Amino acid sequence: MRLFLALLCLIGCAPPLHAGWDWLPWKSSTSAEKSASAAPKGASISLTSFSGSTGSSARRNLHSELLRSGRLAVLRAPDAAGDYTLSASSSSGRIDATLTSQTKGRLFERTYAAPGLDENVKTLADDIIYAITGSPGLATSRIVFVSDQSGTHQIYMCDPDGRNVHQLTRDPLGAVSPSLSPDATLMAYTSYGGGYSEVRLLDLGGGFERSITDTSGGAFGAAFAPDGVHLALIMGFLGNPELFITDLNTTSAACASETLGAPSSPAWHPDGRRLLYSVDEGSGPRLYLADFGSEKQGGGLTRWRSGYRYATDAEWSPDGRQVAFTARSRGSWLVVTREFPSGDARVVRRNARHPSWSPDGRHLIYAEAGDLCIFDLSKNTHRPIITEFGIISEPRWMH
Amino acid sequence: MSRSHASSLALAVMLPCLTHCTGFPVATGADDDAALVYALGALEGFPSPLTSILQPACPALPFTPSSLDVEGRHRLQLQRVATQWASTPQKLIVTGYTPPDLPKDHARALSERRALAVRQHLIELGVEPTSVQTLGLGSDFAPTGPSSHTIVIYREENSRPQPMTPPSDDDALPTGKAGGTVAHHRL
Repeated sequence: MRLFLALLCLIGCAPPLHAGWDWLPWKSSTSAEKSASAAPKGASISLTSFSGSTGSSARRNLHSELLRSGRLAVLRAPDAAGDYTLSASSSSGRIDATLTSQTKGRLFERTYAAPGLDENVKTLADDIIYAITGSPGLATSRIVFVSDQSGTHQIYMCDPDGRNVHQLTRDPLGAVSPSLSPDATLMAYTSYGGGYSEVRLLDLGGGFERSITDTSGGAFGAAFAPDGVHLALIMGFLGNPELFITDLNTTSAACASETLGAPSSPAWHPDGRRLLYSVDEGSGPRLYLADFGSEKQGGGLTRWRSGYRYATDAEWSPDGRQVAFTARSRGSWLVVTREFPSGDARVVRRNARHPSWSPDGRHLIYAEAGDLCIFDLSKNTHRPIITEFGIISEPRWMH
Repeated sequence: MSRSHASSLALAVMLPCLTHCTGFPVATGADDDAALVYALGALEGFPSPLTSILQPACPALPFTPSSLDVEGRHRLQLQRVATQWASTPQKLIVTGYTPPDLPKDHARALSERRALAVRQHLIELGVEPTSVQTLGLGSDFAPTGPSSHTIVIYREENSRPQPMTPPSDDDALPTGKAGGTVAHHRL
């Protein structure tokens, strides 16, 4: 086997992109310092009256965000006694907030000073949810997807509720297969702009672009590793499509597969050491596991038994315990989740494809009949969030 | 990973040079009988069927949905293409298509794999490796392109540029335009 041993090639020559995106509205500046407490079920929070010129707007918007999350009971009266209390002041869009627990005292005291009140409220809402429940909120997360509504396939971004759709690519011939870096500052995608497919990297803050694959043959299916530095993708320049792992810092790549079939759709485990991808060797795509931490010779690549003869578009849940994928059974497309490495499979949705997990692992998005839809795994509810926007495919939720 | 990178340093430098200079053979698989697979040459100078009007070198090659490799019914057509190339060498672009109902990334991989198999067969029939490029489009250009399991071999001869019109800024607006509207729903 030539897992990470066979080939190393130089692709691309531009320096890596870094720094300068801290102002991005969906990038929480406080995520690194978050500290989570236990997640009480049905915890309640009261929002005191917010002082300051934009205090009432900030309180109203925060109330809406927390209600929308469905994670906390938000008490309406400012003086109500909840399990948690948030006191804050807001002037000119800036928010100074303090979250206090009835039992543990002060949980955090932070200032949110992004240019817009709305962005500060969303970041504060996610911080509150993380501090109380221990899992990420969704208010600042983003979804990318492909649509042909402009006449060519282009990539768009929207909020988790389908609002604020805006176009990210304007490739003259089409842009597909998006993958966001973990901090959502970069997006890798497949471009046909030069007449042939290539993987490009787009800086979402500055709009700068560069090619990742300076090679002949097809290049597609890029997937950011959790470290934000490595990228898995499929390239065909060797004369057969293979899975490669690129290092964006050194612009080098290593071949990580050995197949005479058609590999596609790589997906990283949250630990960054394992990767699922599908290979079609003539009987439909099946899922394979590449374990880069395996010391066993020849043992790095194994088939993962999904329970389906046709399985592709895998994506690991944020906790790494489940895999969602597209399956085909008896002529129907299915969105399926299955425990990893083994366990029960669950058909989440029929006639739907390309699932992607929400950052909190409580929802899946997928494409169904050309619409972008969301499934609440705890409530078993399905809901379209973008309809009549051309044919939507390949949605990805920022993790 | 770093150890393997270090041990492959020489090849790391050589490989891109080789791939950009000539289509060189790469032995693949553990099977000694497996044919040498020829890496692709430099892309420079090759037109694209996406940006140029190109003539097919032969009728389209239909593939059965599960097939990855050249089938018996393709061989006569490919022999004719190779014979024609021997008399009049020209650049060939092997382009793969799939039906639109397949998962998108799988469709790209499938069409690329078939295109590479056809390229490999053409090389074995005597076509110069550097004269053949591949393009796996899957269903990314359906329905304007073929919408079936098909390989089309385009040739450079008689090609002429096709004007490209980038989408206007108006096309980018997601709401209130002819392309459709956005329905907002709450989680």
